[in-house]
Order: sequence, then C-alpha cells, then structure tokens
Amino acid sequence: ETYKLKMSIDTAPAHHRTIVVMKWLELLKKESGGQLDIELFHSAQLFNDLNVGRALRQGSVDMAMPGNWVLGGIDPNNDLFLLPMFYGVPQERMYAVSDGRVGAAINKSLEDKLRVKVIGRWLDHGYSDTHSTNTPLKTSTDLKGLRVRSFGGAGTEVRIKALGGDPVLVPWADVAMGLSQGNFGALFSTSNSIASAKLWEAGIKYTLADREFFHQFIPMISQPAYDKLPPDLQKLIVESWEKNIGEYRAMTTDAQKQALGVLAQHGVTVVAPSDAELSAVRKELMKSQDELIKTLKIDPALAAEAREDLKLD
Amino acid sequence: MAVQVFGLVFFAMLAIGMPIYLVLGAVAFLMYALNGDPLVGVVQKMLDGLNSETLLAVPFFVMAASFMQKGGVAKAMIDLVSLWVGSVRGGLAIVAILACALFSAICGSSVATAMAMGAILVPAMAQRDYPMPFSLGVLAASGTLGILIPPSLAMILFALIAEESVPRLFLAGVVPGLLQAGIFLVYALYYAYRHKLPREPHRSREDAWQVTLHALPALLLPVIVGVGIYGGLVTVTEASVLAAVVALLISLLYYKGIGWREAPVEIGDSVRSAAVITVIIATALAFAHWLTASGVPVAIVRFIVEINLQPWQFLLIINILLVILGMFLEVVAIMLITLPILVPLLGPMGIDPVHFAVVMTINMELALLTAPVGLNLFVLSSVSKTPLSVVTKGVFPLEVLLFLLLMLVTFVPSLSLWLPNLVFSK
Amino acid sequence: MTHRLGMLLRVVIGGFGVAALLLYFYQIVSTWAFHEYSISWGAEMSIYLLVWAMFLACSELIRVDSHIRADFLITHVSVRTQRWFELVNCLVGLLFGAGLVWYGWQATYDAWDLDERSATALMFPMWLYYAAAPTGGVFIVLRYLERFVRYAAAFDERTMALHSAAEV
Ligand code: NA
Ligand code: NA
Repeated sequence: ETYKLKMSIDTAPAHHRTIVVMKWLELLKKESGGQLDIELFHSAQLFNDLNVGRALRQGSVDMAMPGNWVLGGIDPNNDLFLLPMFYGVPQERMYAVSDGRVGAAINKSLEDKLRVKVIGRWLDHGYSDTHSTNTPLKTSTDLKGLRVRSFGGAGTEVRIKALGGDPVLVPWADVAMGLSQGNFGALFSTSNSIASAKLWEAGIKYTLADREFFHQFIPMISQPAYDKLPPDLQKLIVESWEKNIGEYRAMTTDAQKQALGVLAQHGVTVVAPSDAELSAVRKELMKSQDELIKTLKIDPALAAEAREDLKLD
Repeated sequence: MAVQVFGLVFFAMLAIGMPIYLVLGAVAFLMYALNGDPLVGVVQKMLDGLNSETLLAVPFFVMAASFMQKGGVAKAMIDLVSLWVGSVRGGLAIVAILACALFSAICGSSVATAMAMGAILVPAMAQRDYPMPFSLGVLAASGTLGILIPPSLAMILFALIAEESVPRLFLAGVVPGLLQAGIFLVYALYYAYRHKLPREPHRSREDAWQVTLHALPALLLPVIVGVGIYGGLVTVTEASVLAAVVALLISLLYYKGIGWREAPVEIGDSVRSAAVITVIIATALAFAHWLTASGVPVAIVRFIVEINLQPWQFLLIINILLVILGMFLEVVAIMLITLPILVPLLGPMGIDPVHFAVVMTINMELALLTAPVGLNLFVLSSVSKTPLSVVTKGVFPLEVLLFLLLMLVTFVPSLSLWLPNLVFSK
Repeated sequence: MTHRLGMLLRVVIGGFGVAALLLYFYQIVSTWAFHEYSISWGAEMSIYLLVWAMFLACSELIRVDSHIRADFLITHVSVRTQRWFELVNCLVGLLFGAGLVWYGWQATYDAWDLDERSATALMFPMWLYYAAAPTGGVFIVLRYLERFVRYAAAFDERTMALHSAAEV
C-alpha cells in the first residue's frame, strides 16, 4: 500500500531548503520501496510558512518545515533566538541549544500546540547578516541613522534600534523594490537570499557577515498523518532524517558560504568582523536582554538554560 | 472525477447568474469536501489571503478615486488635460490610455490602476457621450498596464519564484509596456475617427488660463504620489494612503465638492466598492488552492513539457495554456501553479527567464481581461454599474491587440531584453 | 428592522474605513515628521479594520444587489425564469454564508484556543481578526434569507429582474 502525503514549504526550487527537502523525500520514496509518496509543494504554492503551522493543526497539510522565526506567534519561545545572547555566536555553539534541552522544550510545545510530531533535529538556514546600499559597513553599529528593514518580530526591531538604526518592517516580497527606490538603506537577511535575488542589482554594495541571528527550520509532520503510517514507515521517516541531518546541514552551510563568494564576485564589499569585535558588540547588546525577554514573553527559565548551554564567556 | 464535477458545477452556477464570488466560494467548499480536505481550510485561506498589505492598496485607491471624482479634483484634472489634447477626436480616450500608463508607473497592480482610472474617467467619457463598451474596454485593457510598466506585483512574484533580479525584470517591461500603450492609442484614434467621437470644445486663452490655475492643486496629487514613490519616501500601499488623504483634503478645502460630514460616508462606500473585488480575490484564492493541490494543472504542464518541443513550440503552447488558465484563475494563482514547474525548464530550453517574465506578465494581463474570471472586467463593471457583458464586448478588440503584442514579444525577445541588458550588461 | 441594520452596518464600515485611513496616515507621517511619537502597527491594524469592514460589506452588497455576476445567459431568459435562478442563487448563498459562520467560527476558536498572535511587534490576537469571517457570515445568511423570501413570496416581475452590479 502507498501512503500519499502533502508537504508544504515556501521557498523556490533553487533554495537550499527546497533542495534538501527534495533530496530527502526522494530518499524516503526509495527506501520505502515506493510506499511513502510525499508530494512536495514548494514556492508557497499551498501555504506561506507563516500560515503553515495552523494548516498542520487544522489538517490541511501533512508535513512542513517552517523557519523558527515565523513561529513566534504560535509560541513566543521561538523568538528566543532573536535575543542578544545569540549575536555573533559560531554555528557549532548554536547546536548545543537547538539540539539540546532548549530545542526539546520548544519541540514539545510545538507538538502540543500544532498537533504535530517534530521529526528531528532542525535544519540550518544560516545567519542573518547586515547588508547596505550606500553606507559602508565595518561594524554592526554602522547602522546609525539608517532605515533598516526588519523581517518581523519584536526582537528584530529592538536589535535594529539598539544598533542605532530605524526599523521598518518590509515583507521579503517587497525588499528588492524598496531597496531600489531607497525606502531603506540596510537590511538583515541571509546572504544566501541576497545572492539568489541578485540584490546587488537593486543597489546592495556592502555586506557585513556579523551573524546577527542564526535561523533554523523545524521539520514536522501532523500527528494524525503520522499515526496513520505503519510503524516501519514511521521509523523510516525519523531515522532517515537523523541519519542524514549532518549532511543536510553541511549542504546549507556550504550554500551560505558560497553566497558570500557570489556577493563578492558581483562587486559587493564583504567584511567579516573578528570574534573579538563580535563579542564586544554582544556585550553591549546584552544589556537589553532581560528587558527583551519580558517584552517578547519568553520563558525566563528557558532563556537561562539557553544561556548556560551557549557557554558564553 | 473531481475535475468533471468542477467543470459542470462551475459553468452551471455562472450561467444562472450566481455572483462570481459565490461561484468560486461554493465550488471551493464543494471541492475541498470531495477531496476530503478540512473545510475550515476554505475560510482560513480567505482570511490569510486578505491579510496582505498589498491588497490594502485597493480600498485606499478606491477612496482616493472616489474623493477625486466627487470632490471635483478629477474634473479639474480632466479639464486641464482636455485643454491639451482637446482638438483631437476621441481626446478623452487618449487621455484615458495615457493616464493609465502614467498611473502604472507608480502602481504595481492592474486592478488598482483600472479601479482608480476607471472611477474618474468612465463618468467623464459617459458625459461626452462616448459609447459605453468602448470606454469600458479601453479602461479595462489599459488598466492592465499596471503589471507591465514597472513597478509590477506580477514581476516581483516572478522574481521571487525564479530567483531573478527585480530591477532587471522591471526594466524588461518598459518597452513592451510603451508598445502596448502605443498600440492602444492607435486603436483609439482609429475608433474615434470611424465613430466620429466628439472633439473637446475650443477654449479662449483666458479660459485656458483659468482652467490651468484651477487644476494646479489637483496636480499636487500625482506629484506627491510620484515623488513619494520614486523619491524612495513611501511604498505603493503608503502612496495609496497618501493619495486618499491628499485627494480628501483638496476636495474638502479647495474644490469643496464634498463636505466634512460626507467624507466618512464616502469612505464607507469606497470600502464597500472595494469589497466587490476583494471578496472575489479571497474566494478565488481558496478555489485556486484546491486546484493546485488537485495536481491537475501540474499534470497538464508536465505533459506539455514531456512531449519534447522546440523552444518556439514550447513558448507557443505555454502561451495557449496560460490563456486558458487565465480564463478561470486570478493572476497570483496562475503564477504560483505554473512557474515552479516552468522556471527550471527555461535554462535547458535556452529561454532567458527575463524574457519569459515579460511573456508571463502579458499573459497575466490577458487573464485579467478574459471571462469568466477577469478581475479588470469586474472592476469596470463595478465602477460603472454596467453589466459584465458590456465590458466584455468593449474589451474584445483590445484583447485581440494585446494577444498580437503577446505573440510579438514572445518571438522577438530583444523587445524585452534590450533595455535590461543595456543597463545591467549581461 | 433590515433598513436599520443596513444603516448600522454602513456606519460601522465607514467608521472602520476612517480609522484605517487615519491610522495608516499617522504611521507614515509620524515616521518622517515626529519620530518620537511614531508607531509601527498602524498598517497592520488598518489591514484588520479594512478586512472586517469588507466582510461586513459583503452582506451590504447583497442588499443593494451589487455583487458581480456573469450575464451571458440571464439576459436571454424571461424574468420569470430569472426568478428561479435567483432562488437557487440565494440557497447557495445561504449555504456559503452558513459555511463562513461555522468554519469561520472554528478558525476563530482555534486561534483563541492556541492563543495565536501576529508575528509582529504588535502581537495582535489573531482570533479577533478571524472573527470577521463568521460575523460577516451571519449577515450574509440574513441577507440571502431576506432575498430568498422576497423572490419566493413577494416577486414582482417589473422590478426584480436580475442585473449586474447596481448602484454601489
Ligand atoms: Na506598474
Ligand atoms: Na480571466
């Protein structure tokens, strides 16, 4: 018997998440002997990630892999990763949090709220860096007096303000036009997104790889859909993900690195601040962290655990 | 099976004069049910679709148009323009096309363009006894320029899915957009000559001065919107808000066509007019969601892809397919359904995605004009209080012209590619 | 009664429209002119207000018979036949309205139960936004009921012919 499932993501075919998902679904089909037939709808054909959590809960789709930065509306603890303590943190250290007890607590809450099963460890999307059109960027605080595009979330707005900028919320769809018209002079985004949208043609000249935020995607399957599968297929889904997540993470990390190269190739000045510089900025930003935990309605105990597991100096 | 059910029910409902939004909404409920999808998804999809800043421009532009029309702003502007082109037969039709082209240069939506321009110009053309089908046709068709002349929401969506550069796509639309306006102008002149449309009355020099002075405050409106958008001060939706507020203020304070007490009533009525279109968009999105999930359009596209065509055959067949889809679906839905499959094929076929974006966009312009689901037809029918069939009739010759332009642009890629390659050098 | 309801809805729709326009306008002007008092949630709020207004307006459009319909067939049949068509249309309208009420209520309750918030600094409770659908649905049901009764029991061939988009 074949089991047909629908999966929704909102990135385009060439995006690293889409590529990973296609690869994984292909693998599942092969290893289940064709029993597991998961149809992928990418490019937001079915749902935006912003709405896909609810679609899972309501049973309108079976699988999804939304980014954790769009899930703050479902559970405020997802906004944890917008806190200053994560600024500039090296990638390996992030895993101590997201693969550890903090990630498990967030998974548990999402599973309860969305009636889903989190399939396994989160897939990396990469760092949001800072990019600007006409203002050269050497450190994160070079945003003073600039209008800076925020991708949403109170944590992002606070960050922009803390760095001296003026936050303006612009959906990704309007970024290219806003840039070329000068609606804002800088933005937070992954370098990969900047490169694939060829935003140098919209005026991006400077990139500061300052690791403002680290973003990850959370793979999930609706609990009713999962329960309908026979145990061996359930096992296959969970285990094949766990077995390959290392490779998938390497793929997206690589895409991220290449993106910086592509930007440089097209005349964008790419600057990577030293770890010491990043630490200094983080120390400054940390002053607002406690206040922010309150405004974002993040569980203080969970934030404390994250801080402990991050092992900040 | 589901698709046959759909076809039967859909056409039966349309034929007995059921409101379009109801046809789409009811079919959506029915097909979700047949498919075993949770019905709450229909309502959720409508709510998610409406929760969009872009869509917000529609009611605001309707407000602006309604203040302009009732408040005397539009009349002052039209007087001024007819002073310039008055000696030409069918001058107002020329004005309509040029106004749509100009408005398109600040507004990325064809629906908003048709709505704003239609609300002002249809009454003016009716006053000068232009044949109704002609006036409505010209405005519906010229309104589609909104997505061809940059900025363009359709191009932005294309850029997102195809990972192309938005400025490059925008530039690619410029020449075909001007060409479309030019073709429409020629048609309007020809029609005016054949049907002996009136010339505007000749004005004395004194009169001319007065008309010009009287129109100056009205000109503030395009200036503020234009400078706002191109000066990088505001987004398109913000510009729609500014346009509404400025139109309101000039109407209240200078032209005095409406009073303070009428303003809220006008705003309420504008929201109601906008709702005619937005409820159709909302139900159309829920409907398209079913069609996407059904996999039928995907299967058709895959089939076409697999029969191994030459690029020119491929482009021709895709155009035909898009025209057919365009009859039933609204722009965003068509692009979401077809682009993810088509875009990866362009490279191997040797078709430049920037060129294809323009081909796609002109197809989307046609989709806005073809019955049974053509938003620009609905807009004109709604702003003019005229049956849909009158608009459909009037738009037909222009649709044919637009189709010819589509063929031209499809098979002469340099029309689209010359400008972006000049600016960005390959 | 129905006349009063119409007036009331017009006032609410107008009020929401005015509020949306002012809020958004204030946001634009304040970001440029008086920065300390600027807001970033005006645009978001005006979406919610206008969508509410438009769901309410949907029923008003039934009352004034201004929803757009295709007229390729209906213009060729007698007014008597049109009456039967319109009775069917009203029934489907009733079902659709009921669907909006029932499933809209489900979506609203779901969001309330989940305490879903908008993913912005405003953290707006989404159930308040979703409630526009079931509320609009109630009035849609009322209007189609009214129209059904009129076409069934008080039909007048001279005044009740179908047409597309009357005065809006
Ligand atoms: Na445009
Ligand atoms: Na159409």
